[in-house]
Amino acid sequence: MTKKILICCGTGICTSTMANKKLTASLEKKGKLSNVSIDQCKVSEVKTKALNYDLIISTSKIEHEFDTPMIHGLPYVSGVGIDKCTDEVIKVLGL
Amino acid sequence: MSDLILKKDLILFDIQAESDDIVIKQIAEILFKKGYVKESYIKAIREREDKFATGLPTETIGVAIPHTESEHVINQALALAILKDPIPFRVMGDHESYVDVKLIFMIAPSGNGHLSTLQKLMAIFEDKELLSKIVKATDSTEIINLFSAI
Repeated sequence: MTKKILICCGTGICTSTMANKKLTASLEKKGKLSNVSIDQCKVSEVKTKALNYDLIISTSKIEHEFDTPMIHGLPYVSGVGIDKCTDEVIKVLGL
Repeated sequence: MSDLILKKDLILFDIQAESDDIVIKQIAEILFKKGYVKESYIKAIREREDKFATGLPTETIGVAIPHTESEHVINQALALAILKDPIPFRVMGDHESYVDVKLIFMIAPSGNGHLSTLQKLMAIFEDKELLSKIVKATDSTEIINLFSAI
C-alpha cells in the first residue's frame, strides 16, 4: 500500500520544495519511491492535515500536536545526513 | 516566469554585524533601497527568521537562507552576503541549536522563479569546494561565474 508523506515548511513552497526533491531522489536511489506519495503544505496547515498522512516531515520547528509520526527534515535542506534520514523514513513507514 | 538569478549588485562583501537580526536588517535594507522589495519586507523577513530560523550547517561552513512571502517583493531577487566574521544563526527547525554562518543567501521570491534557484543553492551547499571558493572570492564577477557554472 502506498504510504503518504506530508512535507511542511513556513511557506509550503520554499524549503519544503527543496526537501521534496532531495527526499524523492534519495527514496528513488533506495528503490522505495514507488511505495510513497509526497505532498507539501504550510506549517499552519499541518495540524488539520496530519491525520490523512503516515508521516510528517518538517523543515521548520513545529509542535508535535498530532498522532502522525514526525521527522525533522533539516538533512534534506542542508544536504548533510540525507542517507541516514531516509533510512529513518523507511523504518518509520515500514517500507 | 523567468529564473531568479544572482545579480552583481546584490553580492555583498565583508559584511559585519553584531547579530543575525541586525545582519538580516542590513541586507534587507539594501534590497529595499535598490527597489527589489517593499519596505514591509524588512520587518517581515526579521519576524520570519524569529519564527522559522534558516541557519543551515553544511559539512564545512554555516549558511543561512532568510526569506519571506512574495507579497513583500517587487522584483524577485537573490542577495549573497559574505560575512567578515561568522554570526550565529539558529538552526532551521531546531531553535535551541546555533550554527556559525559565513554566507547568507537572502531570497526575495515572487511566483515560482525561485524554485530553480533553491535547487541551485542546494547544489552549492553540498559542494564543499564551491562553498570555499565563494567564501574566499574577492570580486563579484568571480562569484557570478561560479554560479553560472552550476
